[in-house]
Amino acid sequence: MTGKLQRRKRLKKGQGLLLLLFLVLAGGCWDRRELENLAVVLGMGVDFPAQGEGYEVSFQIVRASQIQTPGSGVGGGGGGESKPVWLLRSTGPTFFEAVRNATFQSSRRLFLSHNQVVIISTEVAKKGILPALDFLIRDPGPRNTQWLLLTPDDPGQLLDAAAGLERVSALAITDLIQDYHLTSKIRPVKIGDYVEMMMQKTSANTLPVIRIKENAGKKELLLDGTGVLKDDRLVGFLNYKETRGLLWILGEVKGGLITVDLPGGGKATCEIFTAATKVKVEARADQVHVKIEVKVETGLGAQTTYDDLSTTGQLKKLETLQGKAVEDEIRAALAKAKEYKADIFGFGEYLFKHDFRTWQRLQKEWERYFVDAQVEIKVEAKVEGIGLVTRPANYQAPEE
Amino acid sequence: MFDFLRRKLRLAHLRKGKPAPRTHRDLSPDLKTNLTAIRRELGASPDLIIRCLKLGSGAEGTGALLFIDGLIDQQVVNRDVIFPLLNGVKRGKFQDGDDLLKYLAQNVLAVGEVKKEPQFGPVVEALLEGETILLLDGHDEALLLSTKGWEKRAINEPDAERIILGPHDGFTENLRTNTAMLRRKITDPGLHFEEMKLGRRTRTGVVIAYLKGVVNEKLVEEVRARLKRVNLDMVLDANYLNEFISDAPLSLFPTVTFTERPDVVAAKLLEGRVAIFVDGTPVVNTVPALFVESFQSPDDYNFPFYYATFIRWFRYLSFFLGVLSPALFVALATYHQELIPTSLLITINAATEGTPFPLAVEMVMMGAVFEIIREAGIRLARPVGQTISIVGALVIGEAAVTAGLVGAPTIIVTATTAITTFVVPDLLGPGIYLRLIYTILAGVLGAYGILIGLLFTLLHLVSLRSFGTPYLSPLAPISAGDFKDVIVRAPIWALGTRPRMIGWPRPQRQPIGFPPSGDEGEEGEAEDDG
Amino acid sequence: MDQGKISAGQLTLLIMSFTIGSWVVLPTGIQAWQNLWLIMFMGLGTGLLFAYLSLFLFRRFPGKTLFEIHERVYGPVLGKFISLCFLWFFLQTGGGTLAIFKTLLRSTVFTATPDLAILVPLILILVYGCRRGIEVIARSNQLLIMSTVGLVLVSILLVVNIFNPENLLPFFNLPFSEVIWTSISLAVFPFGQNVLFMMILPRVNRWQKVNGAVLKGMIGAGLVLSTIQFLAVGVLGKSGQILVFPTYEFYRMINIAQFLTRLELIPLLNFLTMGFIKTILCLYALAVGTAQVFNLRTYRPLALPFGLFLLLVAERIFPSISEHMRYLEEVQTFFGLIFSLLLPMMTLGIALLRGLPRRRMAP
Repeated sequence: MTGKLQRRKRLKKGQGLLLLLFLVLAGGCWDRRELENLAVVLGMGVDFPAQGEGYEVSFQIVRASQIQTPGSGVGGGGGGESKPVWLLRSTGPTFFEAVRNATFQSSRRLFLSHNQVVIISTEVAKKGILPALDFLIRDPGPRNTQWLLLTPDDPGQLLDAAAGLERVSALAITDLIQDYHLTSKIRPVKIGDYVEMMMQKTSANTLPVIRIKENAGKKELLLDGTGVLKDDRLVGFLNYKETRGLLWILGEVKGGLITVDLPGGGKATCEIFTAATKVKVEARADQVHVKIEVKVETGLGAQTTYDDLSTTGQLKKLETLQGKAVEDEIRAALAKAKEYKADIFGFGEYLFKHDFRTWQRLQKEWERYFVDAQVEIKVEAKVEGIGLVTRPANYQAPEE
Repeated sequence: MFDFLRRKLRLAHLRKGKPAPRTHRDLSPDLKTNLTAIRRELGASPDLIIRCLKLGSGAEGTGALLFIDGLIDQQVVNRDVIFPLLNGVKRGKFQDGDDLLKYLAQNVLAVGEVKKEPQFGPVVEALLEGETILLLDGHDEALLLSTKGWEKRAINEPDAERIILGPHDGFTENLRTNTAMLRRKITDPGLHFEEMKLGRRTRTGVVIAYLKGVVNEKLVEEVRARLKRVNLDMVLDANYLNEFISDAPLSLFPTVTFTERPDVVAAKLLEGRVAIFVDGTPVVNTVPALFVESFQSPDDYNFPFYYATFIRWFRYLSFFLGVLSPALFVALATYHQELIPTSLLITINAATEGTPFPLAVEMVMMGAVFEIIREAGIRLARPVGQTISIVGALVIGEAAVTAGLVGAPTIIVTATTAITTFVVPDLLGPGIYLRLIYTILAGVLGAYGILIGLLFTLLHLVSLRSFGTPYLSPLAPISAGDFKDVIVRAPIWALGTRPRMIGWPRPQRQPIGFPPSGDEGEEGEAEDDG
Repeated sequence: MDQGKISAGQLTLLIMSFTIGSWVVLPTGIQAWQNLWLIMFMGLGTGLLFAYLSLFLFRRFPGKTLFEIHERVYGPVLGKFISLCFLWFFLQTGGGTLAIFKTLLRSTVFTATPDLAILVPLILILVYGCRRGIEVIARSNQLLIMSTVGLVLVSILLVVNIFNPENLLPFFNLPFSEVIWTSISLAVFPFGQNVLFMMILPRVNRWQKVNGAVLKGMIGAGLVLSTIQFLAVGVLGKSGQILVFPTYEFYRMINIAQFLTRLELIPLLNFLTMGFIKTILCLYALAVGTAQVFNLRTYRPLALPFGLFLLLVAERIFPSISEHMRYLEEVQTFFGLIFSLLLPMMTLGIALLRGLPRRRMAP
């Protein structure tokens, strides 16, 4: 009898648990987002609003049905009627508010997890980037591999500019940035890298600059140099050459071209095959000594003279010239950085990592030490390849 | 909750009635009385043939032969029973005072097995099993002549378990044929059969087969004990017993495996398992069953080991895809879109634009449609089955997408599920349920829901046992020595030991780790490297 | 009582999972961030000392759980009281673990889902597993820990292109006192919480092998934790210091050919299984311990109430993650020290003084 009673009790308990589970689940699906209700954001721009406080954020939202995909004859019908992307502007006292306020205009919920690029106007950059982007770092949604870029133009207009071969300008910018190794004159920065740099006490940050280029009345995109940020605030710019110098020091040159003026007139362009940099920072007495050693291997790619540059003697000369050119670029970058008093090369960080004691001593007045730093540059250039021809077709050897 | 169900089931056991008492009457010396009694017992069945005869002049006597038409070999009865009875007595040296029945059995009847039976019940049983009964007037005993013989299906390859290489014979519905096929595979005196009759009304022959010296005796005892507990009125297929003797009758997972292939049964007996044959069905149960067994195919051992290993991995992969792919897709597409590569997300987004149902509902719906199509395809006659697949593919798949009812990715995932499920047919049943449960959980709590489901399944699986062997072994508890035939299929010469949890009384099969060497050693090694 | 037996190997793996448990997502000693992976080994060494103290106690009373030892050493009343204190410790450990994972899920994937919806299903399977006994827990753990170790090995490959060895520099830029403090706090949490296994050791089928199993388990856990920390520092650099869940975050950085991105969900779920094992062991110790304190025949009916109790603790114990982090950094070390070092030491001391056990018991 008692057994039966117990069974009944047990049954009730089991039912109760099941009921609890159902109650919990039935109200469910709180975080569910159906795909068709998502507005996938691929690019964002941050600016100050024309009037009032806060931020104005532009979102580039993709219209999935307008993007022709192979085989999507059903879903992608009617392509070409409207643009495949939609630019939405929204303002708010913080970035987060601006994102939420976008729901006043967008029928679908903004989905930031796939955002690829964040474009920051120089005005915002001058006031500080972290306060503007804190949401993107704090929130679990956005990825920390988003590319950060600066623009002197209106970020919204920039995102709306023609994307060249791509249909979505944000994706075009991603591709532009990722092809930096073809020139090594742009330094791409991810939001995660930016935060990491901010954690380093003496280092200054750089961000690539993108702007609108008018071309026959059409707006197009152009990557144009690098912005220098000190203490999270924009202080100046580097041009292509100086950016290359920065990359040399950071050891981030992966490719690109070196063009030198030949002594007899004309130019020669070599392609960088491999490049390696060694930096050594030492504190002697009251001065910081920096030793930069660059090893670069190149191949002759184009020349604008009729001379035979492929002889060993000529190549040697070419190597010296290249070494000079590289040193030139490095010097230019150093000069600009010293002018801005911004340690964009991470010399201080190097000391912190390799000579902790000295760094502790110099840390307080690092700016002064940086500006006074003595830099020794050694470039070892080698020309390894000459392409498929030796000399120009009409070359005539000088008579002996 | 499961405890409750189990208790309920146990109760159900108790409520079952006692088996009906069998008649223990003795036969009467009067032939007429006996015949009437048998006629009454069997009703006016037209297949009961009663052939009255007078014995030849050597010994006077009237008798009757009884048999069931169709269950006996007509030729044997005519040639070896009736003919000698009518003529043979003349020639023999029967003297009065001899036991006539004994005399007949020893001198006259030319059949293999002759038994004397004084009781009424066993006589009827023997009659129904296909033996011929000889009743003599004035004798209160009957002779049972084994003249069984009926139409049998030829030995065919089992449809459900096809293989590419290797033996193509399968069991038939005849118990004797089946045990003989097993004897052909294992010519070891240790191969023992134990027969019992189960099913109060069907009285089906059930045979326990095991390999003495390899098997764990306790396991045989356990099988015997559990079979003794079977109290059913019919046993028409191996599954009747299966559901009765398995350790976890309420579990989704099969703790008794079955096969129609003699080579599989032979291999399992040699691993130390016990097989249960059931008369009237080609399906043979083997115990204990392990989870990983479902992923082993006889073909694994008929192909080179590297290929077999590869295929086995794909079988594991297919099972997990089959069970999890709808759930994973639902979780990814409704909760964790950040995990989908951007371009793919946009494509899927475009493809699902405007579909009216939540994705989880879509998924469950299409899953149900698929199951219905599958079932219809199996049940219908073969030509119509083709039509069904066309209807399924075109009408439901294509039309539903075109009409915008479901997204194309849903169809793709359902199709993937459909194909992958069939790779591991043993786990079809659990697969369907798990898939449904996981999909719903994924629809409610995303990947976390799937994890909850998986953890529950895991806890359930590791708590299962099949005849004392942990169901999930050798994965949990780990017995690394058995991984050679689970994670990979090691070369045959490396499969030196039997599964540790099953064949532990006599673990060694052959010299362990014996690589092909000897005179052609160098050649063998060279091949190994390649 | 539970009659199930586990092998020494299973014990090793249980200790690994339990130790990896919650520390892996909410590491302590963040002030030593860059060197944490090295200090981990110092913590491991200290933790092993603690563990061997308890093991010494166990080997004097083989086959007895900690609570049974208490009753023998202190007598029934005081012994029960100390056991009750330990029950609180188990409750707090289990509840804290649940709270960590709840917060992790709430702040990453399920920002809008209520706590109950996350916790109730988990509690239900915890109770289900607990009722099935230690054998089932140990077996399922074997698969779960294998997948976690596998994940750690795979992640070494996945981060190869974003791992920056420079980030590991400089070694030991901390004051010595800080290093000592961090290693002690690591010895207490995660390693010291292993004192809970004093409730489970009697279930090992060969108690002679226990010492080796504990050693292997703790070293294994130390290696796993250190590897993860090592990878996290190399990938995240200093920015790991400002993150709440750095180990989770570093998986967010993984980017293989722009295709395999945002993989953090996989380690999250994987670590969750470790937390699952940790909580289920706490629940098991709670139920078994209570049954022993009150001389009950079976622990099984206690699993559900204690499961719900854990739910309550997880909900209420820390008002915010900041509070939780502060607790782990500041209070936990002292609190844990009492249970993982002081009380076992005291028990051992008194047992030695009283000359217990009187006669050598056959195992």
